[in-house]
Amino acid sequence: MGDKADVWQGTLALMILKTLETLGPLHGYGIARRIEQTSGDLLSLNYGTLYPALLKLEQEGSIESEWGVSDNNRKAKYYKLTRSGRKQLEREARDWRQAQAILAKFLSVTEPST
Amino acid sequence: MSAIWKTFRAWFQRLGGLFQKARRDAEFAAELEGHLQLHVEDNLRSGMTPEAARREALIKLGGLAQTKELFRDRRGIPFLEFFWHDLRFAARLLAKDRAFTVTAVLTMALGIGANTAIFSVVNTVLLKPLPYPEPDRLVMAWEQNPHRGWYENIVSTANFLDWQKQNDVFSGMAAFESNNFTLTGENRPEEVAGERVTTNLFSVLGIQPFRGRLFLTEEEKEGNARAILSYGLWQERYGGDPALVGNSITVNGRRVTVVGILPPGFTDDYSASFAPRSRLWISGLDLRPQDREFHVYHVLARLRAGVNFAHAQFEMQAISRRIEQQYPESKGWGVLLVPLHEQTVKETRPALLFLLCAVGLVLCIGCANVANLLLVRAMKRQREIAIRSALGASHGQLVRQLLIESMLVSLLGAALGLFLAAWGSQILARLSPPGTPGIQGSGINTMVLLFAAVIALATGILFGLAPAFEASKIHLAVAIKKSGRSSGQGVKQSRLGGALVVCEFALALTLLFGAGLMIQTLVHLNHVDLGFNPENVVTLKVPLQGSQYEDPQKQAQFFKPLLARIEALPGVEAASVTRGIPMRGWAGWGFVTADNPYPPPGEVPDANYVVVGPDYFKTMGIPMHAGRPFSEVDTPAGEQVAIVSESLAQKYWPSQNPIGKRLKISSDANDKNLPWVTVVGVAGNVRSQGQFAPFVPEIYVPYSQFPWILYPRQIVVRAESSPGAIVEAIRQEVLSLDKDVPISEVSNMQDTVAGTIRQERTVMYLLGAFAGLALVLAGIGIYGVISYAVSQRTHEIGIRMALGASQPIVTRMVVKQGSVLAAIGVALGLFGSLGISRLLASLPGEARIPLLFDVAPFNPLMLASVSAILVLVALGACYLPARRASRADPLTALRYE
Repeated sequence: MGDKADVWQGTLALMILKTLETLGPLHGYGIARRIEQTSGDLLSLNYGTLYPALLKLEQEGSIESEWGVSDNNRKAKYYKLTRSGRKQLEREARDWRQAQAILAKFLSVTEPST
Repeated sequence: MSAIWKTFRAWFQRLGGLFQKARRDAEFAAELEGHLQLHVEDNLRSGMTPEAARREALIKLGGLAQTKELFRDRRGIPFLEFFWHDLRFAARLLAKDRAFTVTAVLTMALGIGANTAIFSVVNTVLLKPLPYPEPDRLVMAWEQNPHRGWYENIVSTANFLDWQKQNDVFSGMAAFESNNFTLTGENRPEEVAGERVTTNLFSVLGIQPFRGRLFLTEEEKEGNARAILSYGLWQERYGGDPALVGNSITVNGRRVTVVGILPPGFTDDYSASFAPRSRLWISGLDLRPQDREFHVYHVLARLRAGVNFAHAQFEMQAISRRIEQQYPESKGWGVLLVPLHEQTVKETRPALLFLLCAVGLVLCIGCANVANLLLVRAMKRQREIAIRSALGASHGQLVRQLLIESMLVSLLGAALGLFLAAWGSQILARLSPPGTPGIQGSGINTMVLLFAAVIALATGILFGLAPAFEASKIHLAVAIKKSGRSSGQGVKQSRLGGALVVCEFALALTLLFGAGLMIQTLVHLNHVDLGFNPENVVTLKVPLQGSQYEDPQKQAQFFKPLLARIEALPGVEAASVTRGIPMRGWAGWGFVTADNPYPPPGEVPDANYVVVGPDYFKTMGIPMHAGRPFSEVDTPAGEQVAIVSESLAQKYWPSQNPIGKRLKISSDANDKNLPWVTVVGVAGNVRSQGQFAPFVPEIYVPYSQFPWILYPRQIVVRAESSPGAIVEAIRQEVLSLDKDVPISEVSNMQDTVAGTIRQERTVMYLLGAFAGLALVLAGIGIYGVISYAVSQRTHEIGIRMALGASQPIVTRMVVKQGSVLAAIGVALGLFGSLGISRLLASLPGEARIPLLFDVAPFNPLMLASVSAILVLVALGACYLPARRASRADPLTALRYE
C-alpha cells in the first residue's frame, strides 16, 4: 500500500465506471472479466481487489447496487452508474485524456541533435 | 466541491459500516459466492475439471479471506475498530487487576476532582463575563488621594457633577449610595438594603425592567422620588402583586410610588458586581454641586462606543487635574477608573490562582504515582507484552494499547472526579466569604466538563507515555525466556520510578512550603491585636425611622432607657450604642485642632468618627489610657467632649498631654454650626478597617451630644458568658419600647472578626488539604517504588542474609535507598520553594497581603521544617518494606523467583 496503490485505485475506479457506462448494470465478476478482456494480457488483475474499489465508489455515491439474477440464473449483485457517477466519469476521462496528451507531446519531443 | 462531498459521504457511509457487521459480512459472502460460481461455470465451460475450475477461480480472486479482509478495511474505519478493540481489551485487563485499578482511579479522581472543583470556581468567578450588555464598557469611577494612601474612595457630589458634565468619553455616568430603608405599612416593619440612585443607573447598566419601567429623568428631583423593586422583594413582601407597579409603598415613613420591577436574577448579578444584597432603588437624589469634600457616591459609567479605557482614563485625569487646580479643597484628589469586571474579581483572583497552581501540583504528584503503578504493572506484564510482540504487534501498537489503558484510567478517574467536583464546588461556595461575586453560580457546566475532559486526556498521556515506552522497548528472546525475575529491567524501572519519586517529593515540598506560609499568615492574623475584646459581644442594628424620631434628641431619648433596661438584664455586663462597629467599615471625617486651626488645603487631618454611648469602651473592651470615658454628665447642655485614640493623640500632640486639648470635627475652624470639643480621654487603638490595615486615628463623641449623626445605629452588648442566650431578651426590650423597630443584623463580634479573614481561612484550609494530599501521595509513591525494588532484590537480600547480614543492616540498606530519593527530591523542592518565594515577593502589596500577612516570603525555618516532615514521611514509608525484607527467611528468599 502507498502512493502506487492510490494511482492504481484511481485508474481502477475509472475503468469500472467506463465499463458500467458501456455495458449497463453488471455484477462484479462481469466487470472484472470485461476489464481484463479490454486490456488484453497487459493487465493482470486480482479480481478480489475490485470489490473494495466498488465499495468505495458506492460509498461515494458514484454507483449503486442491487441484487438480481444473472443470465444463467445465478443470484448476483448488480452495480449501475448513478448520475453523479456519470459526471465523475466524464470529468475523470477528460482529465485522463488531457494528462495523456500532455505526456505524449512531452515524450514525442525529439532529442536535440549533438 | 463535489469531490469533497464525495469524500464526506464516503466517510459517513464508513461510519455506518461500523454497525450491523454480521449482516454486511453475510451479504458480501453471498456476493463473493455468486462471483465464484459465475467464474467456476465459465471455467467449466472452457473444459476444466470441477476442482481445477474452483481453484483457478479462487487464485484469480486472490484468496477468499484476503478479499474479505480488504473489503472490511474499506467498509468501516479500521482505526476506530482497532481503538474499540484495544479499549475493550484494556477494560478487561483493568477489571482483572482490581487493586491497581482502584488505586489508580481513586488517585486520579482525587486529583482531577480537586482541579475541576477549583476550576469551576475560577470559571464562574474570574472568567464569566458580567451579565450586562457590552460589559467590557462598564467602569467604576473613584476618587483617590495617593498622598494619603486612599484609593478607590467614594466620590463627592460636586466632583461627580463636574465629571459628568465635562467628559465626552462616557455615554452615561450614574451615581448611587448604599442605604438601608425601612418598609412599613402593608406588612410587618422590615429593613431592606437598597440604594439611592441617579435616574440613569439602570440605563447605564443596560438593564430592562421585568414589569413597569425604569426611572424618568424628571424623577431626579427630590420631590419626585420613585421606587424600583427587585424581583425577590416584590415576591416576598408583596406576593408578586402585579398591581404594585403604579401604587405606592411606605419607605422610611413616606409614600413612594413603585414604577418598575427588575428581572429575577438581577439582584444576584448586581450584588456580585458591586452592591451586595440591594433590593430597593429610590430615585430623587437631586444632586447639587455644593459639596466637594464630602465623599458619598459610588460612580458607575459606560464607555462611549469607540473610546478605549486608556483614553477615558487620560481624559478623566485631565478633568480632575482642572478641578484640583480650581478648588483648593480638592488638593491631592484625583480620579481612578477601574473596569467593572476587574473591580469584581480582583480581591479573589490572587487566592484563586494560587489555589489553582497548588491543586495542579497535587495532580502532577498523582500522575507521578499512577505512572509508577503503571510501570510496575508493565514490568509484571513483560511476558505478555513480549508474546504479543512476537505475534506481530508493532512497537506503535503496543504503545497504543498501553496508552489506551492509561487513558481509560484517567477517564474513569475524571468521571468519578466530576462527582467529587460537584460536591467540592458546593463546599467551596459555602466556605467562601458571602460576598464573593458569582460563587453561587459555580458548579458543573460545559466549560467545566471540557476542562475535566482535557485534563483527563492530558494526564492519561502524561502518566502513560513514559511507562508505555519503557514497557514496549523489549528484548524478545530475553523476555520470553526469563521467568519473571529480571535484574536488568528491574534496575531500569527503579531508575525511572526513582525519578518520578524525586519529582513527587520536590512538588510536595513546594506545596507544603506554600501551605506553611499560608498557615503562618493565618496564625499571625489570629494574633493581631484588635484593640478590643470580641468575646461575648453581641451586636444588633436598631433602625429608628418614622416621624416620631425626626428630632435627633428623640432618638437619644429612645436609647437611654433602652440601654439601662438591657444593662439590667441578667447576664449582661455592659451595653452601649454606636454609629459603627469596628471592622465593618469606617467613616473618615476631616477635623482641625485648636493648636493648628488652619492647615493648608489638602492637609486637613482626618479620623474615623464614631458616635457612641457612655459604656461603649467598657462594652467593647477598649482600654482607656488616660482621662475618663463618657458618662451621664455629658449632656447636651454640658461641655462638648470627645475621646481620641492613642494614635491620634501621638500624631497631633506628640509628647503633650492630650487631655484638655480642643478640636473641631470640620475642616473649617470657623464653621459656626459645629462646636469646638474638648478631649477628655485617650482610648486604645482599634483595628477599624480589619486585621490587615494599620490603626487609623479615631475620634469618639457621646451620642447624647451628637445624636443626629448616630446613623446607622448599632447596639453592642457584652454578656458574662455566651451571648446567644440573651439576644431574645434584648429584642424583647427593644420591642417593648417600640414594636415597629425592625431589628436586623444580629451578630456577634467574634463572627464579625472571623468574617473579615474568611477568604484567607478558606484558602488556608484548602491549601492545607492539598498539601496533606500531596504528602500522602508522595508517601504512597515512595512506598510503592521501594516495595517493588525490595521484591526485585529478594534474591539478593537472601544471599546477603545467608552470608551473615543482620536484620538491621538489611533494613538500613533498604531505607537508605529510599532516603536518597527523598533527599534528592527535597533538594530539588527547595528550588521550587525559592521560586514560590520569589513569585510571592514580586506580587504587589495589595495582592500579597491577604496571602502573606506579616510573613516573609523567604523563610528558612519554614523550609527546614517542611523538609523535615517530608524526610520523616519518606523514612516511614521506606521502613515498612525494609522491615518486611529483613524479616524474610533467607532460604525462601534464595529460592524466590
